[in-house]
Amino acid sequence: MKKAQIQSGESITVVIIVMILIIIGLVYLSNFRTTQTQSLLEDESDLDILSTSLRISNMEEFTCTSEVATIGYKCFDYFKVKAFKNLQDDPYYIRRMGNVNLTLIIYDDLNTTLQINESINFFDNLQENRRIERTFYPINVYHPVDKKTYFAILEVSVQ
Amino acid sequence: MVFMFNKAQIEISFNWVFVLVAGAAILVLFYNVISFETDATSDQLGRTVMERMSIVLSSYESSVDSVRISTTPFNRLLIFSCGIDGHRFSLENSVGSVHLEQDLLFSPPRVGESRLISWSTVLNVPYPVGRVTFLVDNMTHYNFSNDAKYYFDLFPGEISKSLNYVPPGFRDVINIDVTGDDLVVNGVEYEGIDIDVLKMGFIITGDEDLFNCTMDKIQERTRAINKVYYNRTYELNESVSITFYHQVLPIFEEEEIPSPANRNELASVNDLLRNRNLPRIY
Repeated sequence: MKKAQIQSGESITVVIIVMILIIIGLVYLSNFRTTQTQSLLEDESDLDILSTSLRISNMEEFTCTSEVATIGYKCFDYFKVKAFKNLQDDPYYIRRMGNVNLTLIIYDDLNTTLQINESINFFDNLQENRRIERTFYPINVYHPVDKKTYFAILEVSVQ
Repeated sequence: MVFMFNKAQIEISFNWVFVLVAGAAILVLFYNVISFETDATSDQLGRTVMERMSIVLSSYESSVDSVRISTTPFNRLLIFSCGIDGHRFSLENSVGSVHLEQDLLFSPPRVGESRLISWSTVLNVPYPVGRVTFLVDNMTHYNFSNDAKYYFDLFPGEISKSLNYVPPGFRDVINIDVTGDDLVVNGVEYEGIDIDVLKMGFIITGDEDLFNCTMDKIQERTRAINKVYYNRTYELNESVSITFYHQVLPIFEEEEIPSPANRNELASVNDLLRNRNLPRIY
């Protein structure tokens, strides 16, 4: 090859190598951004389920009436939960609750052991074949006729 | 004929031109990549701020009847609007908005660039329908006339308010007056339900459209929760067999906030049940 051709070839080679390095950098950056976005989505999913649990625990559709205002912590009214179960297909609540499943597991505390007294699945709007995030929330359940308070776990499943 | 350039000179010139062109192309490429990244980051940041704000607004509901002031100023401006898409908020100069589908939030059209002030209270009609959140900032001032002193006294002290005086330096001023028995805010007369929490909402927003947006959500929620109270009261009637429960069932069959007469009836029945140590309606 002639000297001129070699010199031109050098310049072209440098440019090609720089381009390759840039492309490798962009690919790496793209992968990094994808990983970052996935991590962000996971964080937001955690925040979403916490926000949903907080919202549901404060809903007036479930919270105890004024006769148990002195309990001081989260309290669900047994009859309200049962009443709400009949409204699962109400379009307003389907829109408001979203893709959520709510189950209340009420315990009987017999001496030192807890046994399940009743399990009420009072809302179910989960879609098939979608990832579910689940959280458990301790709560009191007040039965206004028996005037008894039970320990319960509210299972919140969110898609 | 004499040629100006011999072969070597052409080679050198060609090399430099080639390098310059390649360098310029690389610079343009980098500039475009950086611009794209900057715009994408700015949009993402805006979206993140709005999503976090949405969660923060939901969290305000959990703590009722206590006024919260943010410790650090919120440096962006939130724009609240009510349009065809419903009740929404967005960041000024940002793309996209968040739909406040469920939040019973009363706020002026612009909130931010200062400390945020929020408080929540339960809306009772007289049974609790939901938690209403009020959101303002310390760049919004509420100016009450002497006739509106009742509402001036209801307003939390943490919010900037005055009687017949507008101090300088505020971004927005909302004027409240009472003519006859009618509440008037920024020249618009309140024509809603006679419940103090709702009137407070009207004062806080200072905007009829924004108020009506939240009011529509409240009405919708009342219609839905009436069904829960109806079912519950029906079950209590079956379990306890006291006529009081049957007496109030028609009130919950109505799909709206109870009238003053019905509210009084519910309150008195609830008091009777409390006195007799029976399960209450609410």
